[in-house]
Amino acid sequence: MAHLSSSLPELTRALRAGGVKIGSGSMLDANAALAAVGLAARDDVRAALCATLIRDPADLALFEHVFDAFFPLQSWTLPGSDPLTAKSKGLEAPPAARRLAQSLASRGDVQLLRGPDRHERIATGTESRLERLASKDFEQMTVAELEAARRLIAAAPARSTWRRSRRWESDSAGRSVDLKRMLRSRQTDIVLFRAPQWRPRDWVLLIDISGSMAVYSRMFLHFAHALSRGGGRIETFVFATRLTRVTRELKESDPDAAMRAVSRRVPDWDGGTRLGESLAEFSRLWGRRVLGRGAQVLLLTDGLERDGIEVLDLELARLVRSSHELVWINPLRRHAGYQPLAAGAGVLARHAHRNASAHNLDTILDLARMLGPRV
Amino acid sequence: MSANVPASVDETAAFLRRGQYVGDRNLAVVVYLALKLQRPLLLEGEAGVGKTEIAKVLAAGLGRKLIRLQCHEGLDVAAALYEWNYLRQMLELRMAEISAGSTSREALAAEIFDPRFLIRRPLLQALEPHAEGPPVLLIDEIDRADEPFEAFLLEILSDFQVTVPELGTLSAAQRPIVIITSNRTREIHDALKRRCLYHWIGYPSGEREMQILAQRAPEVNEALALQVVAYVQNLRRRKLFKPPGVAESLDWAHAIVALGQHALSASLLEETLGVLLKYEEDIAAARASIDEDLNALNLRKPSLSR
Ligand SMILES: Nc1ncnc2c1ncn2[C@@H]1O[C@H](COP(=O)(O)OP(=O)(O)O)[C@@H](O)[C@H]1O
Ligand SMILES: [Mg+2]
Repeated sequence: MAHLSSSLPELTRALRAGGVKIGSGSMLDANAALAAVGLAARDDVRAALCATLIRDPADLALFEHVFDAFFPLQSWTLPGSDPLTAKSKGLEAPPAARRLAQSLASRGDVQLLRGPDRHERIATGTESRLERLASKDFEQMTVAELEAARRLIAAAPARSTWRRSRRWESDSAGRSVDLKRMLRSRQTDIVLFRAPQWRPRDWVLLIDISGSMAVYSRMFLHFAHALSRGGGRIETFVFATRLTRVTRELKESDPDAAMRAVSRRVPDWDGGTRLGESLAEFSRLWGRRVLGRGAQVLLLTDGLERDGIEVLDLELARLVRSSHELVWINPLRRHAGYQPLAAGAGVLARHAHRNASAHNLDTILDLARMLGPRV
Repeated sequence: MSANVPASVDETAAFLRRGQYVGDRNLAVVVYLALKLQRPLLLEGEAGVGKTEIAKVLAAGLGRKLIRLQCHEGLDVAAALYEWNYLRQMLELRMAEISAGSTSREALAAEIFDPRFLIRRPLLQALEPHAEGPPVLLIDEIDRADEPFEAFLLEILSDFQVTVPELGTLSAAQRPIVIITSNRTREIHDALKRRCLYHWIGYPSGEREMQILAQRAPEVNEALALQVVAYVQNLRRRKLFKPPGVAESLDWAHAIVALGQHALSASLLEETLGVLLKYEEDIAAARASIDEDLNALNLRKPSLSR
């Protein structure tokens, strides 16, 4: 196994390509860990690398797979074998591995969006293509376009809004006396003040996945996935006839795997809607747990409610009372001159603080911007 | 009377076994690495899978002091590191002003920032010298603290020293053994994770859970333990809001024995599901399928493979 530490960079490169964040410090750690456990036992080597390179359970499956591909069991005991030669084999199975193989290919669109500079896009002559894609209704997109859109959504930068926290910091404009700092500055005649600190606001995403929402809810789930991977507290629920929490499923780093995990969890994709009932279930089971700190609630639905409007009215009022802000995201707004005439839509329009759409890339990216800090 | 620190992965595995901790080889590797490389160990996993217990077993087995910082929302430097006893300082100040009006302000200030007015919280305690050797510092459930606290913790874990403005810099002569746990109700900041070795603890396989019961609940006979484990493992496969952890299996097994029972029955389950499950919705879900679940246990031998 003399080649093992020299193949570390290869292994980390493969993991990085699969979306694992590995800093150079971690590579030093990995080397130190290998020196400590020795190279005789494959299991110990695997555990040592895992403890130093992986920091997220969602990446464990990918790690196992890459490790096995680089260091197959059979090759471990063969004297003089170079584990690196093994790496061309394997890498067939799960999505993470597929992505590993493809991840470096055709990243064009994502990078375009990341580039802050519009001139750059014009210069490369791709602007019009991108612009066209951005304003195209998801429902009209080809499979390839949807795939490109998904990757763009994954790269969408979204920042948090802010809330007051229970912690304090010194602030001359604050309203509360900072006794601690007065003593520390060794004087008691100048009164110092403190004020609460500000924290990123929590988000709660409620996504209607009933039949009428098909494409839009799927694309929005990708947006939810991108948000969930970005830190800050985000809780995501989907519903058609009943409510399912998918926060955990969306933590998976691989978007395909995350979507698959969501589908597995959800019993009623594309079913009918019971908006009012689902919101009631949310407030009963989750409301107090996830809205406690003044969350911003994004509710994606077309408001085509089947059941009683009274329940919906009641539940929306409750939701508005216990959250910081309710944003109603309605893909039907794509139609020029849309009016919330359906009974359910009327109730939603009455309660929501803000409205938005999410029927194409532009509107989803607008949403990401809208969620940015407001002063 | 401090015991020797394990000097290899094998020794660490034996050490954990002696502490009646049932772990796999991977755990022995990371614990050994944490000791050897003197790095904090971040343990993540669902509630009740034995994260906190590792710190306890380490402290007990090494004969070191266990210093525990239980995290919560709003945890700040004053509660984690140190705090001046302001009230006593104020009193001292007033007393001095009354009795000796002539003493200068500076002299007074120097006097009130005396170590005797310092309240030492867990992090400061962990940096102080201990006769039996460096303590085990358990930073428990870090996910409950606010994010800014992590930044502060990161500083301490980088150089193991703190500056008390009024007293100067205090640094640890020997690094404490640091165990950080998280139930993963939120993501821990990357920078902090990078300071640590990382290990995810999942629910144990049926086989391992049997071993844990044998270690931690020896009064439960094997036949009952088998039923308990099979039933619990089955529950974990269902969509519950909070699946039972190992802690719950142990509590449940203890409860059953305390009730003088030797086998699961429908009425026993009715009575004791509350020990296993904490949420009404979960209890209702489990209650709805008691007969079915019991049948499954009796028909085929419980499968205890992973
Ligand atoms: N692997 C294990 N070996 C021995 N006991 C265990 C193990 N896992 C859990 N336990 C028992 O379960 C109880 C709960 O574990 P704890 O460490 O408090 O869980 P966590 O900190 O992960 O929530 C402990 O008191 C311990 O007795
Ligand atoms: Mg614990």
